[in-house]
Amino acid sequence: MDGIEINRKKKKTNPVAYVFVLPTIVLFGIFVIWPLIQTVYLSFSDWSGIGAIEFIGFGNYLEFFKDPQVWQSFKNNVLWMVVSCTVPIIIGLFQASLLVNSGIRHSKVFQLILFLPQVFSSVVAAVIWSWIYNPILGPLSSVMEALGLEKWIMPWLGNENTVMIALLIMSIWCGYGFNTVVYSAAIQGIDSDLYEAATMDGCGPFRKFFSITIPCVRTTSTTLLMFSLIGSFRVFDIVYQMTKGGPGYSSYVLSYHLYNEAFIKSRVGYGSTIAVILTIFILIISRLFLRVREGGDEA
Amino acid sequence: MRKKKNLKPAVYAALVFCCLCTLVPCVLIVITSLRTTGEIVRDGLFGNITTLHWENYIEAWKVGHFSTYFLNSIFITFFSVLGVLLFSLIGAYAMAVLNFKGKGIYKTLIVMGLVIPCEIIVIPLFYDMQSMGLMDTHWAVILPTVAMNIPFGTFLLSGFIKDIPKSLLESARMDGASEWRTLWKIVMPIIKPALISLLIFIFMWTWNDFMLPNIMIRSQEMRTLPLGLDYFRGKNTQNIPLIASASNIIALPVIIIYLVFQKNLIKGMMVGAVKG
Repeated sequence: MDGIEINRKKKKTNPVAYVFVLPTIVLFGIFVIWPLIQTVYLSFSDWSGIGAIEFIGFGNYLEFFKDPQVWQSFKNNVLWMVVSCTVPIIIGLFQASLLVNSGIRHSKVFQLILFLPQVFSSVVAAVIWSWIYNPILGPLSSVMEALGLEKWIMPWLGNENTVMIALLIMSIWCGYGFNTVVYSAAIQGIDSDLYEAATMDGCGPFRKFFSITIPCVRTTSTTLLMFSLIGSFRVFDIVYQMTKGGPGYSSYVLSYHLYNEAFIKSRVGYGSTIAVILTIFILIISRLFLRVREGGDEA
Repeated sequence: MRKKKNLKPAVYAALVFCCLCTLVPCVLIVITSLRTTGEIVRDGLFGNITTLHWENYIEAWKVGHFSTYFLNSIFITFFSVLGVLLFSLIGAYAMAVLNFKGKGIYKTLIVMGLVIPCEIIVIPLFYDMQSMGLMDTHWAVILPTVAMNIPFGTFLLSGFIKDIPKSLLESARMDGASEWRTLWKIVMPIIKPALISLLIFIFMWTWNDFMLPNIMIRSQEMRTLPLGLDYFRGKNTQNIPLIASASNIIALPVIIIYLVFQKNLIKGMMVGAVKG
């Protein structure tokens, strides 16, 4: 009798489990859940960081949709999204299929090099690229001078027409290595019989790429697209370190706007509102993508 | 088959081109770090390279207080990695193997943690740290870092723990081993590769993190390496070779770790991305 009861108890609830999950719940509760609630709460106030918190209803939310900087940021975020959901992913897929499918040697060495920019801190990347874009002495202007393209040399980061292009090129450099490695894994997982059968049927490498590789890595593509989408709405470090949103507001993005309002201008309430809307946006995107992906898997 | 052979040189050429695009910016910054501003102004970046100014590195190290920043980064990274690894391991074990009431809620919590962006919590966190008296200490970075990375760690590890045959864990239990002992003696050795991947991920993220330390740390002697480099850049805008040296000093340890652990890192990322 005793034995059976203990056995049943063990199956029901193991008290040790609570000891094991306790640290996570405590830390997550204090440093994630609680601040999350506070952000939502603050987003309805015009708190400046000191004094009493006064509520202003949906005032901040109304301001958000009228704020010209929000629209400028949103435009830049969308541009960032369009570029980072296409260029680095296409480069990644292209590089990965070359690495895995063309039967070359030393593919590990190539992979090692291609992934390298991923391991740098954004500050290191910013040092590298702001030097490259230096219009007076920088390497890019030296090369252009040598090629006789002097009239195209300009302060790329200080010109509102070129600043976003300059930042995007940098972000592509930072980003494609990750996509390459993940795609390499996905392509390695494709059944090699498919390729062999295609070879028998006389398919060339391009045909194989479009008819086998691309459809087979579909799930990976959606995952990478989701990462890029979310990442493009969270971009902060590059803008903060390269341009601080300038010149003017021409490279503003939502995360930087949030930082600036909450920590520089001490408009904590409004900063929280931007954070809430940004998060809702990210959650909607990830849900949509998961749904699309699951729907695709069933089909 | 004949077609394939003809394409090989093109494949190599394409890959070498991609690698050049990746490496050229890195090589440029190394060259820059070994010159002086005077030389660059006089001869251009690539002109007349006769002496390499390795002393830039010594000067950057001394002027920039990088030894202090190094110790700060090591402290923060060590405790963040330790916290994430330990708490994710026991949490993942509970989630994958043990039965308890509220397991569903716990799983929801973990999945939620995977998608919550740090922007939504960072503003009140700043004021919470102030009222806890942790502002401008390393713990103001470590504790939120651990809390935010546990979901990823738990998710990754529980996937691996689930793959361990149940009979193995049952037999340990039959022998009267406690859960701690089973975890330590049986689960840990089996999922060691996953733990190493997680360790490297968290190491890189914490070591390179900029946003959180930038908000939580105010005084100079508490700065981490990325913060120190950012500050150093602001103060020495004219002396680009010195900034380049400082930046290389910071990048070097990460590159070494990357080269040593590349297999684990790339494998871990593949598993993480494919499973996720």
